[in-house]
Amino acid sequence: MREVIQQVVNGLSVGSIYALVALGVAIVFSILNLVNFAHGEFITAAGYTMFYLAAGDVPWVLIFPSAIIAGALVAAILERVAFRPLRGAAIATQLLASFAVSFAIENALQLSVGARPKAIDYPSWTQTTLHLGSIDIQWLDITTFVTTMAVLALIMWYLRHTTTGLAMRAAADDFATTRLMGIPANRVVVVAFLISGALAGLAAIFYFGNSPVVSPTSGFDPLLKGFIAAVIGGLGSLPGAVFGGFLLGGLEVAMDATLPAGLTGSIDAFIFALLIIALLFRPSGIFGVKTAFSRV
Amino acid sequence: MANDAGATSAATPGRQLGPWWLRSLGGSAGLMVVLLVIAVAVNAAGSPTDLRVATTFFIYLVVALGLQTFTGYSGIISFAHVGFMALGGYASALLTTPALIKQTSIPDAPHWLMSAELNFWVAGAIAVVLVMLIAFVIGIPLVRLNGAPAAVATIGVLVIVNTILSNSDSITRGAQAFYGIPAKTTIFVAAAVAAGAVLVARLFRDSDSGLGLRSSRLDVLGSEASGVNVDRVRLLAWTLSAGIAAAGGVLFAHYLTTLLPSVFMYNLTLTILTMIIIGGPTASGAVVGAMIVSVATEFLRRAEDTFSAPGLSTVVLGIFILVTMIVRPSGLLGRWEIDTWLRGRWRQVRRVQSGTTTGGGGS
Repeated sequence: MREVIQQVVNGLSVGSIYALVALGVAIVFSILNLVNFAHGEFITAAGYTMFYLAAGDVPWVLIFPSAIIAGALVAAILERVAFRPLRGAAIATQLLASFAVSFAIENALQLSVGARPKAIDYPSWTQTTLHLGSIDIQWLDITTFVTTMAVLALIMWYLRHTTTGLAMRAAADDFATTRLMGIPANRVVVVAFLISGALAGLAAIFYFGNSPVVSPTSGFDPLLKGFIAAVIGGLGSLPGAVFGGFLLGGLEVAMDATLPAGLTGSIDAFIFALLIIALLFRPSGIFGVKTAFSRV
Repeated sequence: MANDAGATSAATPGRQLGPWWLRSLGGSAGLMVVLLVIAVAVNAAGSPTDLRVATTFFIYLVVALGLQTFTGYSGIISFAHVGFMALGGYASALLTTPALIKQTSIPDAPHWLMSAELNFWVAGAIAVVLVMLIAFVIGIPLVRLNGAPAAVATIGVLVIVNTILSNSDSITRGAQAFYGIPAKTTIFVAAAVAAGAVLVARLFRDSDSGLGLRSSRLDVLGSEASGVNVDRVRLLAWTLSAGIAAAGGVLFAHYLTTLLPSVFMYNLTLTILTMIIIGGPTASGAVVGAMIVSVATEFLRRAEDTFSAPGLSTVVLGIFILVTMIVRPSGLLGRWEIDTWLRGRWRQVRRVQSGTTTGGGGS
């Protein structure tokens, strides 16, 4: 029982991180149909921001917001430089462009800051545990889950109760018509990228909290998990992305706890195999409403 | 417009040059001759570096043509083909490497595999057929997917292949290098296989199935409504393209004589994807793209060494893709095969000439 509760907490924590990444991927996809491989670079950027600020003895009250801002900033810059000229191109073209951008940034980071992983000096409270009777819970896991829930509520409020939020939901439904209604396309898209990048920055705080080393490629793994989560949930569906994130987190923790030791290195392969099988039955994901084309 | 060949012949009804496959043969003959001439010229007059660059170009071209046959014609990005390349390479390597070497490198392998010392061509053929079988089975669920979910699922194939290869310690030596593969890939072998791949990719492109597949790239519903069984032509292209990619992997294995699973991951995928994107979605596009990327990579590699800046080539490659996509979203050659394009130009020139003569006579 004790073991189970701890694994559930663990799963909720990992799931929160994946949900944040998947939600960021899905927000951009829902409007632009862009599968953004460079989303991983937003996470990496936030990681390096934390590393350099922590090394410079900046207080953590400032570092955490800076990480989120760094993610959002990189997202906005990439939108302007790389993705705006490609807007409206085929899904394949945009996907490949983002793949290329992602690799270019990874290698540029390798050239500038070096390939060697750098340890982020996290504050000591992230390592402390809360003792509830016989159950030990990491404070970091609690923070991750609570913050994620709060942020999800905030985003839901934003999308429902602000004009820009309404415009974004309309754009996700039909971008062309939304523009005809007088909504400036660029503002909607930039806001989508800013939110996407900020979510990546927030995810980075918790992700690196669990494994506090950042390297030029460290964004790729959480990105892949975000993709899988978003596809499971149904690309383009925001609740689907969040649900997919928690499902994936739970699945991963469950596999890690139950699989024999020799197979834990193959968890990614198992998850991908499950994904392919799941897509066989539901090609557009669990909450999938919008596919590459609409069935008549 | 999907059928450019049909459109050209429709524009000039009197100039039908025989059945489609004969025109494809004629169309690819030019490219195949160019490839063989490159091989002969480099072999006769090139430095060892030229020889290496040219052979690598031919090998990557084969893989690029494989990827083109699926991704280029169907419009669905595949990350899986480098995985198929790896499977082809490992399969052929296991079947040809001398038993003496295998006894020390993979002592726990099954006996039949340990004693297998097949001829290069036989092993290569077996490897290609094996990979096509595997691809066929994986393809059944995959071809039903479109767009982004399809791309993510193919990443899954790549990850699964990599995980299997790097964990099969007793057969592939896992994450360690598999060594002792007989060096059989000379520049002529590579060029001949590349020429064959050009032919296969071109013939498939112009066939009914290829035509149907290319129409589904533009509009899945529309082509289904016109009687194309999209799942069927996609599965056909997927299986065929995996076979071509596997042939590239066989060449790769017998050229380097050493294999590592980590080679067949995202970096190589990006390189191959760049080749077909820069060139455009045709067999000629793959040749032109592979040529540009191979030469550019070689220069960049030297620049990397000179400035001791590893990773520079990928940065430049990435920017290269981005700029090509912005400036020419459909690749350098667009949707035309090079011979169709040349013939179109030629006809245009003649029309302009005869037009001016008629105009001059009339006034």
